[in-house]
Amino acid sequence: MAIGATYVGITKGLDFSGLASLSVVAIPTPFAFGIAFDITLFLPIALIYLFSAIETAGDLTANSLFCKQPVSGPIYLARVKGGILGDGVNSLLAGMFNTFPNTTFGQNNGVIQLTGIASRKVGFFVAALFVVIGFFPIVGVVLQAIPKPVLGGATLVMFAMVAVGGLKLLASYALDRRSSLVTACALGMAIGVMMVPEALSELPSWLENILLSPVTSAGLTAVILDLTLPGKKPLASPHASAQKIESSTGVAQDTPAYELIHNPKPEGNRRAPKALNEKAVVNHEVVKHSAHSTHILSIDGQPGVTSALFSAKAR
Amino acid sequence: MSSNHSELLYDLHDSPAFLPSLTAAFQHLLASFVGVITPTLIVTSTLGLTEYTPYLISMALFVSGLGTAIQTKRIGPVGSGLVAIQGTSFAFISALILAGNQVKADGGTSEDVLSLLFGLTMAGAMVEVVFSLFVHKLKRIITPLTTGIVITAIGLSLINVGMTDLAGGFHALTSPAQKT
Repeated sequence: MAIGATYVGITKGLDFSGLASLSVVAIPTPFAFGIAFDITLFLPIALIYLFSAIETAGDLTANSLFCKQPVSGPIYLARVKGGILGDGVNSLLAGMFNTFPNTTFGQNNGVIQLTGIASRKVGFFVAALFVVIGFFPIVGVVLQAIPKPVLGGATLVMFAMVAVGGLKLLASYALDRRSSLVTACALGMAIGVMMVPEALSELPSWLENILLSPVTSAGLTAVILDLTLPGKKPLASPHASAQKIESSTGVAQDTPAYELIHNPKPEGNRRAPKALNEKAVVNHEVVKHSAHSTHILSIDGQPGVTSALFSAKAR
Repeated sequence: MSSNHSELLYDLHDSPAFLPSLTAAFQHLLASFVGVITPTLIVTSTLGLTEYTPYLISMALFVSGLGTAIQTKRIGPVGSGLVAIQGTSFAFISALILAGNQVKADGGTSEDVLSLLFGLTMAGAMVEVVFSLFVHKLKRIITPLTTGIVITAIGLSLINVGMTDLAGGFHALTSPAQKT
């Protein structure tokens, strides 16, 4: 982003016109713009808050996993509960101090994983840095001068990375026939309303507004189907997941390992007989590794998948 | 990439020295900084509120800091006790723009737009607060399956926004003839 902004700065010049009329320090004033409310516009926002809470639960699950904290049981539940409550309280503060809803970020889980530092002390350092930067509006003006295409280049990848984060979480949950169907329906609805928004134009406008958000329609579809479709499996025991994969040897479409390994190199499908052999090897490897792992979520972790990939390649 | 699955260098309750802490904090900052300010940039530029953008971005950063401290510290029942960085959510962008456009269509001023958006933010936050009290009863709803789908949908729905900016923003799309 810095390189892109510099390039545009040199070739076309950046617009820093905001600098002139700028105060040096921004004072957080509660309710600087007053407060108002509208019930019909509130409904979609309220629904998104519910899904934001579900998203936070997902992020905190990943976070706990990387911090070697439990991902089930009372400690985990207390963390998720406190985290969602924290999101709510922080969003209250956000509205009070003139900014938009806050949530727990997922991308920082990657930083914890990368640095291997899970210490809470770091959290306080980050908090202090944010507050300090926040007091100086010059940051805002400089950021506003970032050319749109440069911003877009960075955000496009970032947004797509959010989707990939979701896929990772999905892959951690052995995609059997039932959950594949739920996923297909929900993502079908999401992409459907995105690409053909006219499909909803005959609905009452309040309902149209709610369903027009791909997040809401996907979330609603997923929750309703997940609750109503029969055959829901109990949450994540390592034993069950190992069995699940073992039983699907040969019909490997059901296992996340198959998806992960074969998606990056789709040309493998052309060599059908050989691919079939690989598939069997892959499944055995994964079963072996998942027996060592402590939780279903680690099935998608690197050791199982990479070694399975290597052994598949070696043969 | 090699140390991904080795043991943690510092546990949740360890206290690394000043320099490693600061370095790690900077990495978190870089990973989340653009995320914290982007929703504000998009909402204000789409709704024509750019005169307030610097102040609103300052407030977004300030609240992110405050929120991160609360999440990490765990005040009473509030907070996860993990390094859970807080920031402005992407998920609300389209709904906020929708609401803002409605106010503008009814002849509201920029201040009217902002006051409504912040009102909606606070009212919605109460929904999440109440929701959190029932989380333990909603184990059947919050599964990796549903959270995975919702996060994927959020990412997919935002690609539109990213691609529009990449092409030069809403303005460039609506007036393709105006090339420099």
